[in-house]
Amino acid sequence: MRLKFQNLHTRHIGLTEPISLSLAEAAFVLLDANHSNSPVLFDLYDHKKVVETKTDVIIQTEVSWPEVTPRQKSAWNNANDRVEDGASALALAAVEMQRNVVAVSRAETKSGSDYYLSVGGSEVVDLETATRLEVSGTEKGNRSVVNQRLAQKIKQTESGQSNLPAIACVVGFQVKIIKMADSM
Amino acid sequence: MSWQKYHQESETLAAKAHTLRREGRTEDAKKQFSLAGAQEAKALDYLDSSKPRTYGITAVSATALFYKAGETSVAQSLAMQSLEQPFLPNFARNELRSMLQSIWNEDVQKESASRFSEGQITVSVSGEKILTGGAPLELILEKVQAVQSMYFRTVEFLQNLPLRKKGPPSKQLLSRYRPWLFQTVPGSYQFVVAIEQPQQGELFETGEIDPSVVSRTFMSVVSAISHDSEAELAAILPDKDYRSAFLKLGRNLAPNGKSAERITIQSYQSAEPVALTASNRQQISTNLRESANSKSFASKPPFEIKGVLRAVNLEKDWLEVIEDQPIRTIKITGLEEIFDDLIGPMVNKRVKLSVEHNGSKLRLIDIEQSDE
Repeated sequence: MRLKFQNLHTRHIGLTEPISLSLAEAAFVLLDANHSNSPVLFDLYDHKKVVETKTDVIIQTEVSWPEVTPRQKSAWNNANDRVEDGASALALAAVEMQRNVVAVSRAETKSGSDYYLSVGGSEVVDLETATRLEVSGTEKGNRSVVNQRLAQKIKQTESGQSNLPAIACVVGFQVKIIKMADSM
Repeated sequence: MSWQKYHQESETLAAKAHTLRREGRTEDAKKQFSLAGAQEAKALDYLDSSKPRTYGITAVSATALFYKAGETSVAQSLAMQSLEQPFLPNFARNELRSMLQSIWNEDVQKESASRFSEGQITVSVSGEKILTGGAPLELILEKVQAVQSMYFRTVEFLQNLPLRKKGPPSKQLLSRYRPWLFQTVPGSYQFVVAIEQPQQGELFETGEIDPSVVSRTFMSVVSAISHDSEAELAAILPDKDYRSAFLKLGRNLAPNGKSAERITIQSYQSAEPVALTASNRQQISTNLRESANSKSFASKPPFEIKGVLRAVNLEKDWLEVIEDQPIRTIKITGLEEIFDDLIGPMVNKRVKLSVEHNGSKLRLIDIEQSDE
């Protein structure tokens, strides 16, 4: 199954075309930097499915990208920007694939931006029933870093710092893993 | 118009602002953030207590946009108005308070005679024994010292200086890169480290490094340590002596899992925080000892000593430990890879040493602070 993280704006009404292309480009640069050939297989792990099915479900999803130009690499020189945006692209595609939800809105926070998810198709009049997507990415981190980040995101929301339903999704680019779990 | 229209307009402007910021067009980005903030504030006007979550998300977003635009007084006013709403959800309340604390810190810094560089970092210490806003003094002193040591070493590394084995950093470095501590919103126990800029009129001399570059490098080093990635660390620190030094200091910074479970470090420049846990500490110890053992020619295997470090003389290459069982004073040599800011904080504290026989003497392989 292919992870459709390019042209997200065609399905995610919360993303404009420029944002969608930008997120995808960041992901291209990261994938190119960490893997010699396209496509590669990412392990997609959804904790909710594990609990529901009582099995350790890992789906393998194909991630492909076009050739990356030197100009694109230079434009995404800042590691933090490219990881944040590249991880968002893959995370949005992953939650769409697994949970059938799309980004319907984006809002700023002190440290970045958050995406809000809802079942696709309908126009948004408010965010009362939307779910926040908390994205974290790591370029070189191993599996234990991905696990650690996911645990940290979940603990953060469960400790009372947030009473907003959220899906935490962590993307490890070099280690080729996407892990998601519900918090709250 | 409606909440939806103003909010969408704000999103579009914010996206442009982020693109401009990435391109390095900071002032243009701030203008866009300001326009986005204005639209988001108008969106807020269309909300009331019937939509508390939407109100909370929008209030945080509008405040954040003005904060990013550098319009801190507008951001402050908006945050305080929003906090007055009884229906404001907790998540929004916490985020607005956090932004207010950042704004107040920045205002204090601006008003002071000292000026502070970009690249502040926030250090959070968390664990079962850590209170919101409170933590054991000794633990915090230890972590503050570790952060300071690593920061100065980062400057020295960036200046291509040989690894300093003895003594404090140079007077010039200490005066150019003075770290200050600021308080932050209690989440676990947190403190902010900011670097004072040189006095107005003084320019950076040749070879001096911009503090924001130091902060970025510091964060990259800590991130590589948190990933347990030798390759990633080697890419940042090609010099093996510096690598070893940073690993040892990083181990001092990482929690032991007893008094604290996690140390989280975040800089304004990096959205993602870096977390150090007890497993990082253990992994560093394993890696350092394996590296030391591979260079050893001793016929007997190394062994462990636990006790209290009582005296150190780096000039004469010895340290003394009062061992637990049996109680006795042991002198250990071979301190070539030990330096002041690593071992200084350990004096009169419990330590765990890995040593080997070197003829009639004991040679040090590794030393770390211990709670055992």
